[in-house]
Amino acid sequence: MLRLLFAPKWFYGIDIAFEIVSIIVAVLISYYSYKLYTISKKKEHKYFHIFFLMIAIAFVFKILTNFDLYFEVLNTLHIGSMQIQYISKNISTIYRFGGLFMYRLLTALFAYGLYMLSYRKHDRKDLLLFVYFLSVLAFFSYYSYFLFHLTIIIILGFVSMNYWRNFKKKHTTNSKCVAYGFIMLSLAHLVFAIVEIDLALYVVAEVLQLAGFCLLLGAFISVIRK
Amino acid sequence: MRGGGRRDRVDVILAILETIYTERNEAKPTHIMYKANLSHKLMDSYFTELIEKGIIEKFDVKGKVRIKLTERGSEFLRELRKMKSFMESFGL
Repeated sequence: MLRLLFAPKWFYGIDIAFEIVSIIVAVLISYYSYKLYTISKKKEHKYFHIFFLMIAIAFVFKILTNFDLYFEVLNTLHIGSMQIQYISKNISTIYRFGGLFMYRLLTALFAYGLYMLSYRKHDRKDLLLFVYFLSVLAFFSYYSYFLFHLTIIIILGFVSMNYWRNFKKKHTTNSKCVAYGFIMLSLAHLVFAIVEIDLALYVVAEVLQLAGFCLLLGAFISVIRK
Repeated sequence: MRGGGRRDRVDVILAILETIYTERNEAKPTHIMYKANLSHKLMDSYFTELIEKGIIEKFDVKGKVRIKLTERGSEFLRELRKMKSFMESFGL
């Protein structure tokens, strides 16, 4: 049977709170880069704004999907009747598929978008081709979540390498936070990929992801407070 | 200016505003043109835009034109420095 739920029961809701923090950070960064775009009119700043907005929306889809999954578990445990379960499962399967597809597609676009900006690959044809590839990935990873996380690790790995080089060049607190933040995000996906080994790994992955976004928030705050 | 690459609008605007700021808010247009490495035509177009937005203003000192930052301009300069620094931490 296809397994979609990896969080231990005691962690239900806590992961949603973690995701809300990530949404807030992503929206802040997106808004700030949009403000800069209105002055600079640079495509890079506009794309940067869009990609961070995408990851924020991706987390909204993840929350909605997880909420539905958690609700069904509780429903089955306390109320469950055969007929009700059957109907809700049919609706939920489409809902979950859609939710997970959107979460994975937007996350993959976020990662690829940052890769594109990091390595100055701005060709629109490349982007369209990758939108297609990443849509295929998001679609089929419903049956193999490992494939999705593996792809994200590779893309975010390259992005992290670039941010690390940037930190070594600039030696600023912000660039350090950004480099470590993306290393954390890459590690989070590495742990998500092997989560089936032990449910506790889901918690580790969520904590790593939260730490990654908190480091990005740290970079943001250190700039704002100057 | 930082680096040797092509400058964008933010770099140019920052160079103009930083020059005015370092000249104690009483900069000569020719000085700005020299420090920001701009042509006369380009400088004029930036001046027009920045004056329209209330970021800088022209004033006279013994019949000679000087440029200063408005209160809004000083705030804008602080904000622009932060934004630039933030995007640089992403290598942009």
